[in-house]
Amino acid sequence: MTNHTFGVGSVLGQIDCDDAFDAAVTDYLRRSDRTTTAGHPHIGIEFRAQPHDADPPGRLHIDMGRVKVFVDDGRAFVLVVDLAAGSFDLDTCHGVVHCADTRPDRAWEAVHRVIRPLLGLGLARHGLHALHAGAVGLDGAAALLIGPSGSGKSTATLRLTQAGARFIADDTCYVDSTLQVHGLADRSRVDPGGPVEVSGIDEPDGKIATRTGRFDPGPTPVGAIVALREPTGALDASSIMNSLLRTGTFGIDPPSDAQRLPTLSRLAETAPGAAVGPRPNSLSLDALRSMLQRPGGGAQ
Amino acid sequence: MTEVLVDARARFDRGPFISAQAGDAVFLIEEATGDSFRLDGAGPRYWELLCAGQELGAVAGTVTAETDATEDVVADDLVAFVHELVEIGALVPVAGDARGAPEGR
Repeated sequence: MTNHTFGVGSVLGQIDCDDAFDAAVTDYLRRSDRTTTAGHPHIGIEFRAQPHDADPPGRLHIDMGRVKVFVDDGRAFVLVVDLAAGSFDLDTCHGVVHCADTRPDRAWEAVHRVIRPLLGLGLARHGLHALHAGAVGLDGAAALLIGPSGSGKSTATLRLTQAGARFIADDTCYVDSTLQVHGLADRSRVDPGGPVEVSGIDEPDGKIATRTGRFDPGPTPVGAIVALREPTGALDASSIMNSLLRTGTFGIDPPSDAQRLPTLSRLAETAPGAAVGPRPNSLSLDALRSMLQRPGGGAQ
Repeated sequence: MTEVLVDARARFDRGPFISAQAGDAVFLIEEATGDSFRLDGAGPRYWELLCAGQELGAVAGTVTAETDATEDVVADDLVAFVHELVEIGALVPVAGDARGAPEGR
C-alpha cells in the first residue's frame, strides 16, 4: 500500500493505493499541489484493484452520465459505470474505491472520475464548498466566473489568465465561510512550481482547459461574481443566489448543506455581481478590474 | 388539503428545509433532495410570520397592515402561497388547527 497526500486550502487529503493503482495516482499527484502540513484534517481515499459487483444502495443524488453518486445512511457511494465503485463515510471522510480494470488509462480514469466527487464531499465537511465556477485572481481579489456547462468558463479563464490574471480554477473552485476562494491543483492543468506560462489544452470531451504555472491556490477573498451568457447588467443578490444554487448539488449531505447555504447567501449579499451578456470571451481584464471589490476597499 | 388552507386559525410547522435570505428573496432547500425554491414578493414575509407560529388569519392581518393591498387580495395570495408550500412539504399544518374558514373571507 502506497500513501500519497494532496492539499487544497488548509485541508489535506490522503490517498492510499495498492500497487496496481500506484502508478496512476503517482502520475496524478506529480501534476498536483502536494503541499503537506501536519495537524490538518484529513480526507482519506483508498484505491484497490478489485472488482465491485454490488449495486450501490441509497438514493441517486448526482448523475453525471457514467459517474453517479448515491447516499444512504451517512455513506456516499460513487459508481463509475463499467469501471469502478466505492463508498465514502461522510463522518470520517474516509472511503474505499474498487476498480475492476487496472490498465493504466482505465486506472487513471477511475482515479480521476472518483476523486472529484469524493473530494467534494470531504471538503464540504471541512467547510470548503465546491462551486462549479472558474476563478481568477487580480489585485488581491478573486472573480468567480459562473454559468452552466458550455457557457465559456474555461475559455474566459484562459483568456483572462493569458492577459495577466492569476489562475485559480477553470471549472471547480471551493469557497469557505469567510468567503475566500481556494483552487485545487488539478491533473495536468497546473504546475505550481513550473514556469509562468499559459496555454489552452484540448480535453478528451472536446472542451478546452487552461494549463499554466500562474496558479494561485489562495485563499483569495471573492471580489466579484460574473455570470456568463446572461443579459448584460448588474445582478442583485437574489439573482446571484439563484445562479450560485445552480453551481453545485445540495441534498447529499445535510450537515454540509446547512453550512453551505448561508455561505452562498453571504457571498450573494456581499460580492458585486454582473452579467456580461452573450459574448463572455469579450470580458477584458480592465472590465474585470472595474468590477472587483477589493479587501478593505470598494471597486476601482 | 383545501380545508387546512382556509382555516384562519391554522398554524404551520416548518418542514425539513433549510433557508437563507439573499436580497429580497428567501431560498429554501429541501434537505432530503436538495431541490431549491425561491420565495419573492410577499413570500419571505409570509414565511417569516408563519415560521414564527402566527395563525393564518394573523399573518393576513399583519401583511395587510404593512402593504397597500386589500385584505381579500392578501388572503388569496397567502392561501395560494401556503397551498404551494404545504404541497412541497416546506410547511406542515399543525394537527388540530384545520377548522373553519378564514376571518373576513
